[in-house]
Amino acid sequence: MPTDNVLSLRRKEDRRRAVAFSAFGFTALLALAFVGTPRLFDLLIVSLLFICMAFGLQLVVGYCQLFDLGYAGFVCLGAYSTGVLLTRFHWSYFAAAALSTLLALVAGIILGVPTLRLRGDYFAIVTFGFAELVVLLMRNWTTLTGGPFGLGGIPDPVLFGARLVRYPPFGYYLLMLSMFLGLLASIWYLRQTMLGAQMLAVGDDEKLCAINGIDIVAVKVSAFALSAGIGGLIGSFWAVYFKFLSYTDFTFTLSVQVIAIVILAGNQRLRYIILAGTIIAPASEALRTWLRASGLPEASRVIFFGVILIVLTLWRLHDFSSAIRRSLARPVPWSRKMRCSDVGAAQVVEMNGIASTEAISQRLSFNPVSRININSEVLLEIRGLNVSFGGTKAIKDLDLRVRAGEIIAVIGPNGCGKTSLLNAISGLVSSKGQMILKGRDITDEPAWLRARRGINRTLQTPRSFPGLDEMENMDLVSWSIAQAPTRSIIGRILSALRAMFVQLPLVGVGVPVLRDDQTQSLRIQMRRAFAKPRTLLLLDEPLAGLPEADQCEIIARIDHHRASGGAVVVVEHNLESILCVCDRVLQLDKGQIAFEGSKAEFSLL
Amino acid sequence: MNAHEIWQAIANGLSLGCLIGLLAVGYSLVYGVAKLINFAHGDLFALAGYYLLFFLAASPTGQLRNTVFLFTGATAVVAFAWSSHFMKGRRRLVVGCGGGVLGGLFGYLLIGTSIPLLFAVLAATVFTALTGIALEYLVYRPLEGSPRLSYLVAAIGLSLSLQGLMQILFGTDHRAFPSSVNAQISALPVPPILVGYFSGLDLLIIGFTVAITTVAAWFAKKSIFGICIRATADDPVLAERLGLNVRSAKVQVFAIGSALAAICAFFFVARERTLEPTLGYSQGILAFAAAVIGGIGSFEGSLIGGLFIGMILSLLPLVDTEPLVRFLPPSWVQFLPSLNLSDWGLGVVYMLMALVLIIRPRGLLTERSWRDV
Repeated sequence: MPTDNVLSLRRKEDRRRAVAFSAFGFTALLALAFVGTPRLFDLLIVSLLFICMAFGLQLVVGYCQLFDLGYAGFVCLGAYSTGVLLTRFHWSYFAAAALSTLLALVAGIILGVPTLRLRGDYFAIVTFGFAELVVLLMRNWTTLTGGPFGLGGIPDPVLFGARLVRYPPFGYYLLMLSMFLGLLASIWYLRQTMLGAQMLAVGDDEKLCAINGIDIVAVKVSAFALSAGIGGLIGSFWAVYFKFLSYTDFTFTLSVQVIAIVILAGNQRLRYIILAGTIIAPASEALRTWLRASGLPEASRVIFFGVILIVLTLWRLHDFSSAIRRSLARPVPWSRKMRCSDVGAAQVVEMNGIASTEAISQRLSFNPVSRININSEVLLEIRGLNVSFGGTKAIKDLDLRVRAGEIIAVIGPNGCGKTSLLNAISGLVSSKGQMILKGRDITDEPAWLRARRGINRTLQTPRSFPGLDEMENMDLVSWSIAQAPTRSIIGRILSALRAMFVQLPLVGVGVPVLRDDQTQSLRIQMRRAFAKPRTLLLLDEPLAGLPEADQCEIIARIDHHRASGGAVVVVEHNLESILCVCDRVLQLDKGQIAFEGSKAEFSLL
Repeated sequence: MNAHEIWQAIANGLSLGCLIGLLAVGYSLVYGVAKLINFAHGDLFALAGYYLLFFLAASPTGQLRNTVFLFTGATAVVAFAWSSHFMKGRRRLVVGCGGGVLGGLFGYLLIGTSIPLLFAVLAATVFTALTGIALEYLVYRPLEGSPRLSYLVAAIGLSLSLQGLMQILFGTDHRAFPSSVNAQISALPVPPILVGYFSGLDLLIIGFTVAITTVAAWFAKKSIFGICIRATADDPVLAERLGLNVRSAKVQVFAIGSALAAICAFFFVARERTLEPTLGYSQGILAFAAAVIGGIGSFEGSLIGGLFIGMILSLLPLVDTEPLVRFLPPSWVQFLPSLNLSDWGLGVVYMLMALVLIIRPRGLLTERSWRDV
């Protein structure tokens, strides 16, 4: 296929460019080292330090759209653990840095598991509390951290037999530079992996994630832990570079400083973060010097960050987060030329094949391929299902049995509980009653787990992840839904972290997803729905608003799905169309079954 | 440790808790309607303290003059916002400038003239309310309709800006009321049975807080005003369709919340005899934790949360950890963090707050209603 060649070329091209770009950057920064004065070194180191912290925070704030107010806590943890290990226990720097990173990472997991279920602003509050708690711990643990007197006398690290000299800080500059480049490469790589895509997806649309088998909590915890680990690593550098640690360095102001960089960068491209960091960090240093010179309290520089935050929020107004999403769709913007012309167009043509003339002729004399076998296995059994919203009962005591190879049409007036039934089966709303899928009780299982077990749901209004392009959407969803269902939290986090080593097959080559393009989302949704055989497919008004040819195609696919051994529950208003394929009809009225029977019985009514 | 000490600590916790609870009610009030964690509430509280100092100070200083800037700014913004009710276009600027000049003039004439305590509190309350409205108009209103996190970012920015501004205008020194005012406050009568446990001020704090919380809760439930506000809180779009003035409901809530912060500032500075720009941060966090623990959005809950925190902060130092230290092997003790529990008061508060948020996610996590399905 010509597409493959184009794609592999594309990827090679990208890699080559990325390598060339970083090599150029590295050489430039290295060259600076030979002409720079110690003062310049210090400024560069501090800027890079803040940029690296912003990289870490961006994983949480930019990708997952979670507001983390406690980043300074992890940096503090890393800095103090390195400081203590170097001064009290005389460890080598590498070992201390590794342990600090690990410590921060574990702290991130421990903090993340219970708190990442919380809604955005409560999560922000808890992380804020965590950072204050860490600072309090460092203040009160006088025996180890020096408490209010600070921790001083941190020795120069010895790297590969060479002791770094504090002044001029050339060695420190090299160390910081390599950390920076390592982080840059890792985050650039992360965006190309399943974990990166999942993180973006979680930030985009949690409901869509849930029905596609993406484990939201585990993905968030992984992102949070990675970001915490980066914080710990930066903290370890902080300790050896500044030589003296005081708990007052790690207060809320530090978190806000990093947040200001991330928000100033706004749309989260790595180079914008670098740019924002090189603006804010030196500006903050200059402000500090100026305040000191003019006799004003140094602490009042918080006004600078405060004003930045206000102005940026007001300026960006509503597209504060959508700007992030739009730009994240292009991690490799320099090869834009090739995208639409070659690869994208080929894909689009293939996907639009739905509307073929063949399908139209099928519609005229539709003849289902298979018939239901009454004795086939029961896929799903529901007993005494109840769904209520506040005082309103959407579904009352509903029993339903779905056999493999069966197509059930759910019909009824608006508000009779059709969508609620699908939501309850797929786990999007909480319900009472028992639910058994292929002999396994799934009553208490969350939506993502049910999706992985084979309950495949489409939404009435099709949606897709706008942070990812069309191909990425497809790849991500089909990969996620095929993952093994794991229940233990450790297994979930490990499997989410494993996704870090799975590359997306195609990155940045598809057509970008447009928020308003319903046909595109519909296409993605339908391809996903019929991708996996032998599942219980829940379709929510799949035919609504479609031209006749497409309706035929979907009906034919529903029929194929049944033939593959799956079952379909389809909510539909278009009776004429759906009756030509379904086996049973379930009519709901006010949340109860008004009629249940075969198609033939229904036609007699 | 004897019973007397414990009773004293409880009495202290009670009045401290009421103080925190009063500030927390302000958080809850704004959160309930605007669905926004108003981080700047604590800083308004500190600012109100400086307003009070301005009205009570006897001799003019540079810092007092700086207060006039704030008066001018706040009144200008509020006049500009208010004029939208009856005029349009450039003439509103004239009204805004006029308001600013009047506010500034008022402040300027008052520099160095100490006015009676009650009037000073009243004036500070009015000006803090005006500042609250100005902040709502300048920062929160343009954000209407944007995601929650934008509000949070703006609120944090606002809090930091106010804090920095106060540090620049008033310096970082600890300030307190003039001694004549302090004498006036300590002369408040105390029933003989409570002497030794409460001061007159403590009783005033407790009485005022309990009364205001009860009245506020009653108002929110029964009065037309409260019902309008609750309707706005539930569904601003629907409330607007039904003809309620959502904007003015928000403004009123900000004004009331800020006024409560001002009264709280008076109580706090009178009781603790200290005022500094970062006070808004440290006290604001406590109050916010109280609001979260008690259930943010509910007045009684906030008060109870405040009392809880007050009790923890004043009772924790009484717990003796000496037996525990004796029980541990001596080689451990040199690596242990401080076992003096008064160091850990804030930590316990944060832990509690996190715990409440994690364990009781109902109402916190799922505000999803049937409309979202």
